[in-house]
Amino acid sequence: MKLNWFSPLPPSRSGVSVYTASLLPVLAGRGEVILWTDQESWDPCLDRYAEVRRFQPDSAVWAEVNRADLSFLNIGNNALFHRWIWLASQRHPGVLIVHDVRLHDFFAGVYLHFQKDLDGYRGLMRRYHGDEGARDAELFARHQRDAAYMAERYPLTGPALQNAAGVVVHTKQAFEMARLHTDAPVVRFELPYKVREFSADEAAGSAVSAPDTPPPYRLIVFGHLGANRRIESVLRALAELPERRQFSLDIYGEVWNESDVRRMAGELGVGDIVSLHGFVEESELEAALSASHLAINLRYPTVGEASLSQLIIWDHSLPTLVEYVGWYADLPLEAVSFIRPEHEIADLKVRLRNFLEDPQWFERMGKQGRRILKERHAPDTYADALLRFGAEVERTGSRGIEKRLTARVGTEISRWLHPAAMDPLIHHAATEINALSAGTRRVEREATDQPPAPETGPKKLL
Amino acid sequence: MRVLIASVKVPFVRGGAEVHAEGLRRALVDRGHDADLIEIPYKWYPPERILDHMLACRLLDLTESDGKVVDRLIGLKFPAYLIPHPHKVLWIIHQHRQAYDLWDHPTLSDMITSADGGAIRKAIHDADCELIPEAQAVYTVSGRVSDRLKRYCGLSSVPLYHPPPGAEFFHCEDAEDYFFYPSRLSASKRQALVLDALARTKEPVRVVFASASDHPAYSEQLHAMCRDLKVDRRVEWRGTVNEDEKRQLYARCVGTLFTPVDEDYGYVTLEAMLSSKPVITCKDSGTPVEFVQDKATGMVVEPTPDSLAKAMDTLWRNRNAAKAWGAKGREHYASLGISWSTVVERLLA
Repeated sequence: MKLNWFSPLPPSRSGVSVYTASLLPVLAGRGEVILWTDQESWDPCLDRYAEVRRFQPDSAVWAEVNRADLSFLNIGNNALFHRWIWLASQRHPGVLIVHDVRLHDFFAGVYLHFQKDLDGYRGLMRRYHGDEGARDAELFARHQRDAAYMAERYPLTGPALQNAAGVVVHTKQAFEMARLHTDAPVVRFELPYKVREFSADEAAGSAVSAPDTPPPYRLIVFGHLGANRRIESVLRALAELPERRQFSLDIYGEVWNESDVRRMAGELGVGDIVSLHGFVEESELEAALSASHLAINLRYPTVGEASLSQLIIWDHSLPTLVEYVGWYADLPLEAVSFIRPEHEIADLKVRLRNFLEDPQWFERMGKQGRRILKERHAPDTYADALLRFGAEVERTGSRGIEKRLTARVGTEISRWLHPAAMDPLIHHAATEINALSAGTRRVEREATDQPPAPETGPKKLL
Repeated sequence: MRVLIASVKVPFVRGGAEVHAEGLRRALVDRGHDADLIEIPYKWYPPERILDHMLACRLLDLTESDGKVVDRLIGLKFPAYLIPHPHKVLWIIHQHRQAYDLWDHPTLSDMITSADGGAIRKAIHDADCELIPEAQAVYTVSGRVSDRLKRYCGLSSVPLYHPPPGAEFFHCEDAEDYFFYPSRLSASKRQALVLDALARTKEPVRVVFASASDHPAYSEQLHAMCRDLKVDRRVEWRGTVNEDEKRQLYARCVGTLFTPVDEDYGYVTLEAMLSSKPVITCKDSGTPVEFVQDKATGMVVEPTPDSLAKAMDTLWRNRNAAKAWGAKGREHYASLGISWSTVVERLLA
């Protein structure tokens, strides 16, 4: 089996590139993988597992793409990393692996930043979200609406999925949203993660054992730290906590408003227990995680993503505080501790006190997390399910052909036939479009670790 | 019976398929049937246009015409053979080969270079697999076409040979000093391969090409090759010739060249056999290989300039053998029982 895999690649600072790098060895064991990228350079380690090709949308490249058996295209919320993949997906139907389903940021980036096309952005918003969407688009372009507001109200999932032959998501929320925006088959698989192999010594102390170490206990926040990562709430909770001297907080990664965070920490009187480290090498972050006692992994609002960070946290057997929203709200109770968005600061204080009162309970939470990571997020299981789904989609065919023919018929007859007289022709055309593609069968189900089974009922068009 | 023949027509292009359809209509009329030919205009590029044509064919109603029932629809070419009819019989000239055996061909396929070529290819496969079995019977023009239908779609069919037009008028005369290659100038017919071979012959071999060009660019390429290879004085381009001229050119040649890529049928082989002339063809030329018996009625060689040059030299030097193989080819044709009567009988059964 030969696979096309469209993705940002390391060393780009994209979570999807980390996902691809971790999954690649497993995929390469199951078939020949061609990695398509728009990057000029990539981690040479990838060459051990796959042929890496620069993507240029010309006929020679399409011929090469078409020679493969399956195409998987990774779509995320950052236009910098995913714009070229989205453009490819518009022309080449394949299986979309959608890492974020609230894609307003992505399309705003495509139209406003890359294409400098306000009219196009407004038009897209009007098409998918009506006049209100177009009005808010105008305000957003003038910085009078914020990204969280726009993502919540105007997910723009539909335009990303419109040419998909199949869709893979990693969260229940994403599954439900994707189903609303495509009639292609949609499946959900748990985000894969390759658990690190520890030496015996490391295994014994892969996370610092809280009961055996004196305070201050080390809290850690890391990743791409946008406004939805709730750093300000964490600082306020610490500031209001009388026992705050028993904690220190390490922040790793690029903080979108770093100077504000530093200033706020100082004003709240927690500047001495908060350290901002910025973006660091993976080894330094690994060491920091291994030396931490509790991870804080908040998202509000969430854009429907599964958190690779959470899997990394579990890999270090760390207990975690997560927001009770989206993918996080479905995490097992024994492996995380929840923070309610509407009571964020109060809940954070309660949880931090809980930690001081019963650190053993939190230690067990971290170990449960690692167990769950091994059981549910195994890359082998994921890769098998992904390839089974891809093969099923390939066998049953793309609905893009049917949609294209349907649109063609609609466009043609709407020019000369009165709507009242359209029904018989539409019915005839729909019947024949179905007949032309009668070899295809629709697949649509939610799956975790099982291959999807095809539905066998008749298809309906128009 | 009232019989409709459904085929496709690429405007301004005329080749074997058009002759075939007309031949069938004439054969039906000659045998007392009311027959007419429906040719659907066809454009296969960009590849998504094919889907429009497929749908257009499916939307046609040919069950009646002018208030009278059409008793039989005979589908010949994709996508015309998708036209629905309750009493449809297929006699398939070929499927859309870019979706099948020519999918990955280096020069003859543009579908694979289209971003959504894979999806269109699959749509064609699905339609063929689902809708060809609508027919009451499925015949093809050759074993080669039947093999492809079986291989790619898992569908069984029966090869049904038919005679070339004017079969009764072909004859043989003494050979003059040329090989004859009567076929559209087209990349799929590989006239370029013949020029390459000609440059490598040891004998003063000459070749007469006849027929129009599919694309001016290919014609220009061939003329440029002649100049570059310095064989232009050994090549004659006759362009379009009438049937009498063509038969005369057959009658007086040393042998016939026919080197297409996986030809579906190809009248050239049969016309050469009717003219008692040996045929040089290639192992990958398709149906000609069904008819030509190597070193008995012609030569079947590797599709390389050297192999082809060697075959031309062999027949050029051994005129007696060429004459004997030609005569045996004519006998072989007679033994195959190829006739329009058989064709009509099967298609209307």
